[in-house]
Amino acid sequence: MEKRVVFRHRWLPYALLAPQLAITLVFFIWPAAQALWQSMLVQDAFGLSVRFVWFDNFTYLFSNREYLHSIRVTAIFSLGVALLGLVVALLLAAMADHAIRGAVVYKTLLIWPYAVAPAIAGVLWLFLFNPSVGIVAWWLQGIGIDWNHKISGNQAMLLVIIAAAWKQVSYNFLFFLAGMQAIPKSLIEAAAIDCAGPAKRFFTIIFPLLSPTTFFLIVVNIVYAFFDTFGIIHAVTRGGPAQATNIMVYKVFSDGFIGLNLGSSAAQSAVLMAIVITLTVIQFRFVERRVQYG
Amino acid sequence: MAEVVVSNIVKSFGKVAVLKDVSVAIADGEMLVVLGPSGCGKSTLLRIIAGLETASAGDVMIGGRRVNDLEPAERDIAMVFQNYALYPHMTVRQNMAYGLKNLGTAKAVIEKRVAEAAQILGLAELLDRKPRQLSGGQRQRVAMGRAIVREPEAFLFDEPLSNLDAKLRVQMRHEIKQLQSRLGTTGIFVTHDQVEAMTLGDRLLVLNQGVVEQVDTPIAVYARPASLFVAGFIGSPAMNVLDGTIDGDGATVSCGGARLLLEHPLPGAGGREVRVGIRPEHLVAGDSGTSPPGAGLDAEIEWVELLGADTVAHGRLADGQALALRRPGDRPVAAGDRFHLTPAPAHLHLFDPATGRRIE
Amino acid sequence: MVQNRPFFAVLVHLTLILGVLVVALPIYVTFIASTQDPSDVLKAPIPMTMGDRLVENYAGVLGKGSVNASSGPVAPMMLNSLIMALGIAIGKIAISLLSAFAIVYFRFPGRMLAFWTIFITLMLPVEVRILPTYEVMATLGLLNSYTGLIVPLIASATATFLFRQFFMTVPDELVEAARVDAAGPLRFFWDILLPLSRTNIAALFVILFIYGWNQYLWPLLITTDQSMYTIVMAIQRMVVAADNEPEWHFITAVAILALIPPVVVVVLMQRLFVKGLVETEK
Repeated sequence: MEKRVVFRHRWLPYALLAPQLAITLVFFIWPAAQALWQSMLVQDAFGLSVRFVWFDNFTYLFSNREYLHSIRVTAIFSLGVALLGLVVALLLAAMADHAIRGAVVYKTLLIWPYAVAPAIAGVLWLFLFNPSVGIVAWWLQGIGIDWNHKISGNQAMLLVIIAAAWKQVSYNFLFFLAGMQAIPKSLIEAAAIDCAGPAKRFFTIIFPLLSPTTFFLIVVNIVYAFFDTFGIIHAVTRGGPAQATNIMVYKVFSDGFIGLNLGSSAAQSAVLMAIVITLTVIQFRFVERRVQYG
Repeated sequence: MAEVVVSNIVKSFGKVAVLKDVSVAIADGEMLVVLGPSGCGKSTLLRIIAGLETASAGDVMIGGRRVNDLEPAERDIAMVFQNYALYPHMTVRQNMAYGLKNLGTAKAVIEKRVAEAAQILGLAELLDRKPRQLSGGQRQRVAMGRAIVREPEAFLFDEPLSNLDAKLRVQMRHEIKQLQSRLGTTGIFVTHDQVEAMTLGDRLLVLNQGVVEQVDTPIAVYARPASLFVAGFIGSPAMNVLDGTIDGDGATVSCGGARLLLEHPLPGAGGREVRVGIRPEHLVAGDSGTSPPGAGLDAEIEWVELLGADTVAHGRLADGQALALRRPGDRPVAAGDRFHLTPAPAHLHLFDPATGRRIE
Repeated sequence: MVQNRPFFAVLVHLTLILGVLVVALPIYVTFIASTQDPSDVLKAPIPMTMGDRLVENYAGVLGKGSVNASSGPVAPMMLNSLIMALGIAIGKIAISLLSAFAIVYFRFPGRMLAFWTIFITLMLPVEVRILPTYEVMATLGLLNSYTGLIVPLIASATATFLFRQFFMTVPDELVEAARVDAAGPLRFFWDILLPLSRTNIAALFVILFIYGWNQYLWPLLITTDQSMYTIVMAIQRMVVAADNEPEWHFITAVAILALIPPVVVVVLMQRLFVKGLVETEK
């Protein structure tokens, strides 16, 4: 897609691009190149000498039990967030699509969690589930569940998944609702003549028609769970207990910034970079991006 | 006000030549209509004159000044665009004043000219509205107003009426014609609509695939089309074109099983294959008395279009060639009717089958 | 919708109301807690109706900070957050408009290279280049500064693409009319393109304000001086401190203060927010 009509100017376009490109080069490309370079270096214990070791850091990384564990944790976490966030949002969107009265009000009441920072969302749920003062923890105790995410790894994982999904439901809800409202009314009416109840209609007509939206949202949710949930982990569990919620993004941070393990952190950065690139390519190549909003 | 001269313009996009050596001189105050089917290069020609595109070769002169290397704004022209190209966020007043403002015209002058233009165009009440609050015709007038306030050497119109409904188009056509002759500004008007072309132009330039087919007054283009293309493009329904051969004496042409008398004999052309053009409205039934006895075309009508004022009857000659004839609406025609047609020699147009050019 | 089933309609509304309640639950409980007397918050279960310390608690949080000094006053942090959010939103919009304008309305050597350079930023979130970026910031002396909080975050492929997309829909004839009207590229940009982009700019502003306000990792990395803390990143320190001496009435008030500005923006500018969200799609 190109414009037919353009301006001619010798230096103006470069001047217009300069700020964006300068920032990109200094704060994006240069550090990323550094990360790639450092991922092939090893520093001695005192930080006095540096050795170039090719892919040793990566070999080490993928034989390291802690890192493999982190990959598994990340997989569980992101699948959990995507699944919970999508299912709840789909249910609510399907209902809102049916609500003739009050749809707008429900929408307003459901979308605002998007505006809450992940770290704050983490704190809110942390407070709810706090073993000594949290209201939900207290309810759970009432039905015989002993909640303490500071001890139980599974409970900690559940907590961060709930906090992360809670925030993402609003986003998914908006896109599902938009997708449903974009389905032509005549199609729904034809379906109503052809087959029975709303549930059957939903699963045989609406949901298949939503598949581009669903696929788009799956990718977006995974990206979100991978990279935008750092604040939740950092504020709620700090990767614990016993590494149970140490997702990859958090591990890069803790190994590099706290543990000061330069080479390993850089190698982890490189792995994450490969993941982002893959996800971005999927998003641009295979995802139907034009979601109509009615 | 100035003469606009276009000489030997060539425009190529990559390997595709859109304009092939186009030359025309437009006199001061004249309205030239550039007519042609879509893709013939007419808009490109106009945009080259405007300075919105650069010609691959050739010159554009406005008022004796070579303007090839000037920006559009420096050429002292004004343009009315197909979709009006009004700035949607500006009021009518701002739209009209924008160009003058950029040229550094004094505020008082701008206000005066905008007021005058608004008066002429009947926009005085609408000056503070935004384009989206206007009807199609009003937008069209604002686009005109934007051109008028510049007091340019030439107006350039790029199919400005094509987005209007039929009724409004007739009215705006009339208004543009009046305005242009009243202001006496040279005008170049691009269109694919032959009615627009016939009614608006002092002269027509018929363009086909980047080549000038004919430049002449509308009546001359109708009466003496310079090529088969022009013959087919101007006039509705289109001119009938039959295969024929000049007879030995050069005074008649044999076609469709008849011998038709020529207006101007072509001595020595005996046996030459030609294409014979006759407009449907010139196919007169009965003996006109000007052709040799029994020399008319015999046609059997196959189907009929009743248009109210006119009836167009489609038929076939004895040798199978199709033709259409036009009759007044109050003279009933039906399928199966037979006609003996004797067109006047002055209404026969002969064309060379190979080049498509008119044979005089 | 198509059929009229009273039972179904009731089910629809019940589900939605339940959804709204679950979504709202954490905020409600947190807000209630933030109005309680410190001792009441520590009782299990905490009260479910508003306490009487709304004004005292919030005034204390904003002006004085926590009782046991695990945090300073929150008002300056909110100001830092506001400066950062506005800076990022305005900066991103400004440089994205300029670069989109250059890419769409000019042909020049290196145009595609510029395009792809900007595109690549999509693939390099802060999270994947934490350490080297920190080193660059330290080298440039940008730690603990507003410049450091804002400038590195204003490069944005998403905003550039959004504007590029929008500029592509602006009719070519407007550019031509502008050229006939003696408007050069910058005048066209300022007089015509910018006013036409108003809605897009506003929609993007809403999204970017939220994005900027909610930044967490970045301020965490480059601020060590408490006077530069933003409210969103500071809360984590209070939670950690709370492990020893829980001050939940204080933390909950900070959380409410931290989420109010972006939530208010979303609720008040819902239309623009939805437009921005759908158009950036990321």
